[in-house]
Amino acid sequence: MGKKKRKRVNYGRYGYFFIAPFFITYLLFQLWPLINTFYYSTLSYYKRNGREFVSFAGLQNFINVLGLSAGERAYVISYLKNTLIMWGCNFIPQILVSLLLAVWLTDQKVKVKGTGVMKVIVYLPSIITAASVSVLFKALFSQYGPITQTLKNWGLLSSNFDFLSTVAGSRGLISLILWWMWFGNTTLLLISGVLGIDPGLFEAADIDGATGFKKFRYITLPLLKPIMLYTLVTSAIGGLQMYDIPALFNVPETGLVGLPDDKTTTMAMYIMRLYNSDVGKAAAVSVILFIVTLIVSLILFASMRDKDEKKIRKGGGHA
Amino acid sequence: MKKKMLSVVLAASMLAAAAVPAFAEEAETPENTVTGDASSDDAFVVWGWNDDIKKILDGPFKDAYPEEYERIVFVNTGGSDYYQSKLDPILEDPSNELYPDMMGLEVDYVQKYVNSDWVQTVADLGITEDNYANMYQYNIDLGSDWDGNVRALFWQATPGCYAVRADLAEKYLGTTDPAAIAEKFKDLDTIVATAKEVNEASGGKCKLFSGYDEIKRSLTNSRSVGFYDENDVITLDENITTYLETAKVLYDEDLTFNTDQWNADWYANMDGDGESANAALAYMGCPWFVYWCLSDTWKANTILVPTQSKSYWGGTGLAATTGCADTELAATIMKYITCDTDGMVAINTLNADFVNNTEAISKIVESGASADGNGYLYADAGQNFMEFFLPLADGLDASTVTAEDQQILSLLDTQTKAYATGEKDLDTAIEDLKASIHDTFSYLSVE
Amino acid sequence: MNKTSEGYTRKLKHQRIFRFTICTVFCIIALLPFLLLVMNATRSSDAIKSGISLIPSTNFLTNWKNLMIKQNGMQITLQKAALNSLKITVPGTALAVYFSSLTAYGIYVYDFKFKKLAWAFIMAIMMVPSQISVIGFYRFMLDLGLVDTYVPLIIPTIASPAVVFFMKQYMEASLSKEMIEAARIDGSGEFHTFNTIILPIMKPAVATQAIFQFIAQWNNLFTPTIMLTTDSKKTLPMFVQLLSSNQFRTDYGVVYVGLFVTIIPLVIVYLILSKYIVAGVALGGVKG
Repeated sequence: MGKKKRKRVNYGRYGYFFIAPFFITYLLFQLWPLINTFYYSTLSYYKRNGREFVSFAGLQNFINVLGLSAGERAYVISYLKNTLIMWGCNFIPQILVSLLLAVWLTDQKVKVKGTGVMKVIVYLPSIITAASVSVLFKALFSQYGPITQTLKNWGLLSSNFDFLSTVAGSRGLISLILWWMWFGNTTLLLISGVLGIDPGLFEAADIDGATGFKKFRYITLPLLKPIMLYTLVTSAIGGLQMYDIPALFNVPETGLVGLPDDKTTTMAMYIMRLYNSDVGKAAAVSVILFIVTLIVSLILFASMRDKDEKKIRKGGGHA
Repeated sequence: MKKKMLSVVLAASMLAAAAVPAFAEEAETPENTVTGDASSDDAFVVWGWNDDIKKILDGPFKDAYPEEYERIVFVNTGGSDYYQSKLDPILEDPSNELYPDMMGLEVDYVQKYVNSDWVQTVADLGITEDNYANMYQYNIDLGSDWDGNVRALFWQATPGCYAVRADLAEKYLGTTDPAAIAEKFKDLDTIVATAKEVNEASGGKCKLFSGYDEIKRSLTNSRSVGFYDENDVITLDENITTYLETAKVLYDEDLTFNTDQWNADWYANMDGDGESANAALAYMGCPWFVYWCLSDTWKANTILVPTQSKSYWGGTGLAATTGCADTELAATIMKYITCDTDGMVAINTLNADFVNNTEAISKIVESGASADGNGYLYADAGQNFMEFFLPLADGLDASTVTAEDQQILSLLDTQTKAYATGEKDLDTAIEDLKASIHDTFSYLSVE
Repeated sequence: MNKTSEGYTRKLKHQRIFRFTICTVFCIIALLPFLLLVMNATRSSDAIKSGISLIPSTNFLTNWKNLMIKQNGMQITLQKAALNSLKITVPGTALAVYFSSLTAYGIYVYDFKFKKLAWAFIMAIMMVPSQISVIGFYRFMLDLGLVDTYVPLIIPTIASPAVVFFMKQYMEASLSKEMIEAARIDGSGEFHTFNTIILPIMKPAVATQAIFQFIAQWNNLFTPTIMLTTDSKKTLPMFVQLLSSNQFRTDYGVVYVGLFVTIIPLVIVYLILSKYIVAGVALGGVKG
């Protein structure tokens, strides 16, 4: 990128002035709290009847939340599992549908009409407040909600069926919400990826008489790999922090237990459930979430290390 | 073309969105829930999760103490479930304008507050045992800390019952005779049989209960052991197992609409006709439930029967905070609405509640007041509201209530649903319940 | 190169219709929930329970009135919650965009010792979500007495690594250093140059990022839930949470009309700005 070295050295110090607010804010509001979170995870720190009980606990919080001592359950593992299942059931159909739409909407030969409007429409759900979306879907799919009722009227469901009291129904609907919210975003990302492919490649393939599928298989797909990987990892990181949708979808009023049977509770909901009543445990869960997130991020950096920096800028994070 | 249509739809909804708030300003200016001026120097702040306390303050208390009443600022948080999370932070912050001088505490968590550093003993307020000599003992237990100091006082007694809708009882049970109906609720097996009877008679459009959780309170609030023992080891009363098992029967045989208490469908089932719209024939009730929760469909249409075992449901304790700015006023309020016989007769006149004062109850019964339960009782059944609850209020036992009951009962709901719908077997449900209690309250241990 | 075999053209036409149909189906899926929302907001609670319908009814104003009546028992109303959200989101967005531009500019224009390190650091933390440090953050704010204020929701936006990243990419593509040199010769101070010359040039990037920041902050639920305890300070997503509580659930019409008011304005704003947003996504979009 050929940066010219400035001769007038005294300008260099301005760099520090310009970046200082960012770094001061970051250290104070992100890094210091993160260090503190690690510290709190080593304390037994809970409340009973409004009184705080604090003592040093070493790694006991971790042993407890991972279910490694007698009488303890590995809730963290179950909640991680819940989170991954709900994320995975959204991501696989998401990437498939997005790939299909991206390829079709950019195909220069079979020009589909109205691609501009379509792009606008499919992206629409991802800007809406997740909390509102969750409550909307809950209202539509609740036991006596309009969609459930219509399916019952058509005889597709038995009269006492309730999506929200079955594990598959509840998780499935959360995945559906995630998919609905994010497939448009992924489609747009993949479209920008396809448009970044040298059109000459397709022309050459046409001359060779390649079919549409062959072009997809041997040109589009391999060249989209980096951006698909990027989508996967940002989506996975976002998915691990999943909160808004399951926290409002199917929980009792008294607490963040993802119904039915605690099977839609996520890691972030667990942290939120404990943050005030059991600081030590909540901090330990945060640290575990941090480690899992870190591992996923490292996979990203490992797989993108050799790639041109410019590829990254085609991406955007989402759940 | 498409774009054009889209913009038309848009323009229309934009207009709607713009027009609506303007309309609203005219029609209704939403009143803030903080009633009174919290910034004035002598403000006396009272917290509650609904306006139950407020109605008493606005009515009988205002009549008796008009000057003191002017100083009261009432904070209504709307809903008991979120109450603790709103209350706790502000209790840590006495300098806050809205720091409560006094607050309402529900039975399911009153023990948490009376055992905290946040509330005063009533003795410190100058309220003596003589003042509350006429109270029901179980309410005094509920308001006492582990050392036996009374810190919260209740104005109502809350014996449990089932409220039965007379028109539906006539249609599907063939009787409106309270004794005959009570016979159909005498024990859980009979209740299940009755549920089947109603279900068959109505072709499934009317069920005995809206949800299987209608029997929950009658079982959880008649336990003989609490959710943990003196060593903080989690214990489960056999009533809990009974509840799980009965709930499963009701679910498996499709005997209720499987609603959750307090949700929209639960309310809706109060008003159905049992033919074209779903209807529930009975609801778990108690004195406050009748005047506070039943819909108009139940007016002059309610028959009361006792729960199969003696139980109670709910109740609100009043407590003064440690940072209370005016203990004298706190004592005045507490004395008038929880101890004073005249005050409590006045409360009964207001809402027909079954007050927590045996002397006042005798007077009310004698005078014949509230006989029709605020207009809800079915006249032809010949029941007297106060006399019905009189024997049920005697000998109630709340010694099993713990500070954590509200959340534990919610965890119980989760496991009940999982067991009833067949996600797991009974033993697993019980194990999971214990584990989740321990997870929520790490100081409580599973053996 | 003109392939005009009739069969080929017809095949192409069929293919076009087929693809158009499938794509339209996905567009309908994306729009259907909004349609149901709008329709249900105009229907009575009983009508809603009877099943879905795409025909509007006349109950909108009744539902709205009922919502207002229900709100009566509360310290937070829909209008107030929206206002609170604005109070947080507007300064938050402004800070995020301004300081991110500033930071990006500092790294892009100046040569200093830790420049490479600073950039690497920003790249590294771009993916770190805020949820994981929330316990420490909450305790820290508690110590500073800032819990239940808007400060912890606004000030931290100064450090928005993703926005910095985007801004720097944009500067590399469209900002010539000669211009800065020219400004220096004219005697313009460094900060003055940034504020009066650079920022205006950056307008398209600033606008795009402002939109995405606004959306992200407006939709945030997690941090406000932990930070705000007083009802009257709650934000719109927190109000939505109340909408799903039993207090409101007794009347479906009210729930839908409440959701209508939280969702439809966003949809309208989106459609007005959709050109910029759709283009922006491809360049490194929203974090959700």
